[in-house]
Amino acid sequence: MRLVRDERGPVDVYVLTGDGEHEYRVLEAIVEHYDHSKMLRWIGRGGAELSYYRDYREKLVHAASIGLEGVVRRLARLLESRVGAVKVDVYLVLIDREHVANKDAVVEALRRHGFDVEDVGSPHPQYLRLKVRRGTRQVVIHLVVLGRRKSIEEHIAELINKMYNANVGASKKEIRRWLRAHGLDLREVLKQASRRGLIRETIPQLHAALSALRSCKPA
Amino acid sequence: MSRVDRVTVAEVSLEEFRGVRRLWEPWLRLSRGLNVIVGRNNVGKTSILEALYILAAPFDSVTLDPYSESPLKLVSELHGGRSSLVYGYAGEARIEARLEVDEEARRVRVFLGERGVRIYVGGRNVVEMGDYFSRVWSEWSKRPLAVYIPDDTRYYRKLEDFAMREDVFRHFEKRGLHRRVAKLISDVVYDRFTEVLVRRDRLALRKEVGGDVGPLYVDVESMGEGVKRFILVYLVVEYLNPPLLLWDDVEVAMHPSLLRTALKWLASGKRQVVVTTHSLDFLQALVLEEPRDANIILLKKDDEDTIRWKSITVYELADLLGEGIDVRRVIDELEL
Repeated sequence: MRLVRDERGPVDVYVLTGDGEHEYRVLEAIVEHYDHSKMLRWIGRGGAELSYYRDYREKLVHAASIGLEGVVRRLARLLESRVGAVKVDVYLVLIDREHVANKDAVVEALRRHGFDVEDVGSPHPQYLRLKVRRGTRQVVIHLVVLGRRKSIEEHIAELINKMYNANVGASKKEIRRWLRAHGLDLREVLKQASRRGLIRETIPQLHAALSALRSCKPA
Repeated sequence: MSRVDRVTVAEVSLEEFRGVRRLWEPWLRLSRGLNVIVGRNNVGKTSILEALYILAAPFDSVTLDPYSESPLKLVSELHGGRSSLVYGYAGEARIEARLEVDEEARRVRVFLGERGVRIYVGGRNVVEMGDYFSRVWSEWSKRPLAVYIPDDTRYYRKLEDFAMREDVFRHFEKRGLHRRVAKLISDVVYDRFTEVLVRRDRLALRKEVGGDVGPLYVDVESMGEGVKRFILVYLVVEYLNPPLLLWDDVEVAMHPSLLRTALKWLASGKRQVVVTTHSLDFLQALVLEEPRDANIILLKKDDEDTIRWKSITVYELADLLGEGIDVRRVIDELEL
């Protein structure tokens, strides 16, 4: 499995996120340990910095472009046929726990934006597999909720603490500070963690989703 | 001869021209205003501009301002020779366009290749330059049908040489272009420029400086590249006033504020414009300015060198960017 941003497609899966930086690093570091034939494209967030330009006309747009609401809106836009249908039927959505109250909140947000939703079975409480339809388009969403209480940083801190017997707090700042103090690169730490099977242990919901993506149809 | 008010290219078609084997849909439609072509490197964006430029005057013997050379020669020189104009360096290229000349339709076809250059206006073979111009736009004058700005410093130097000609610069002064461009630049840089002038055989900008210093006269050549490019293009294009402006990689060396200034000028409606860009700043400026008659053309290419394209409006672009979707990234997966 490969994760691309700008490289040539077409790809099998689009990756959407409610936030950005660490989700990308984690995914980039670990995907190569899964089935190599699938290609994922990082559509990411993008919303906050781009929606600044609409601020003066529609201030609400800025707040709505992040988190669950932002992801669902992005998904709706990608499926609309007005611009041209995007030929990707599988979406991996990574979203922090702080943006998702529960499964019902996800389903409700999708329905509010015009999606018909069918739950096709969730192998983990923080991993939802949903078949959604909007107009003539039907896609499968693999939605992964990251963090036990808040965000992906909790998983990263847990990984570092396990691997290095450390005591890093679950915040971007603390993680960055610890890595710098120990001359370590997050990408390498995550690759090591993946090789040692620690991703499966610490972020089982993400492991389950990436494993499930093995069986999505190639582009 | 009657004066023509407006010439626009409504559609263009390419076959076996440079790296473009063919277009999936045979005709690429252009808007009468601003057209922005977006796509990966080497997809064929520049080829479209160059094809349109060749149509402006497809004769080896013509010398078009501002470069004093023919479009065929210019494009050939940019790419290493005449054979580079034809796909696979053998055979024959076809460039075709449907023009609107004051609402009247004209069809132009140019073939380039092993049999030389063959030109048809309507169905009629044309061999004389004067005949071509009179059939294409009913007017023969020194005013070029198109000005092309390649992303090549040699040609920016030629723009500067042209701008410095006495007979040309007088027109800048008479029309106030030398002051107008200085004001446009001053709005987006920290310097306060009042005018462009020729000083000691160089193009320079008069700059006011606070305190006891100045005014200073700064050579345009020593200005930042983005400012220099904008000044030269603005002056030359305003002076020549072509119906069609073609500008490759418009964003090079430009801060977003200068890009927005450039965009406002390009979208002012005085002429048809076709630009290429990779710049998200330029696309965002488009959304902010919302020019009328603007068209964003997304290109992609398949493994048979066939170009697929899709036009979207500024509103559709705004929808995508507003939701955090970078349209440049999803082109490969769009159904075009």
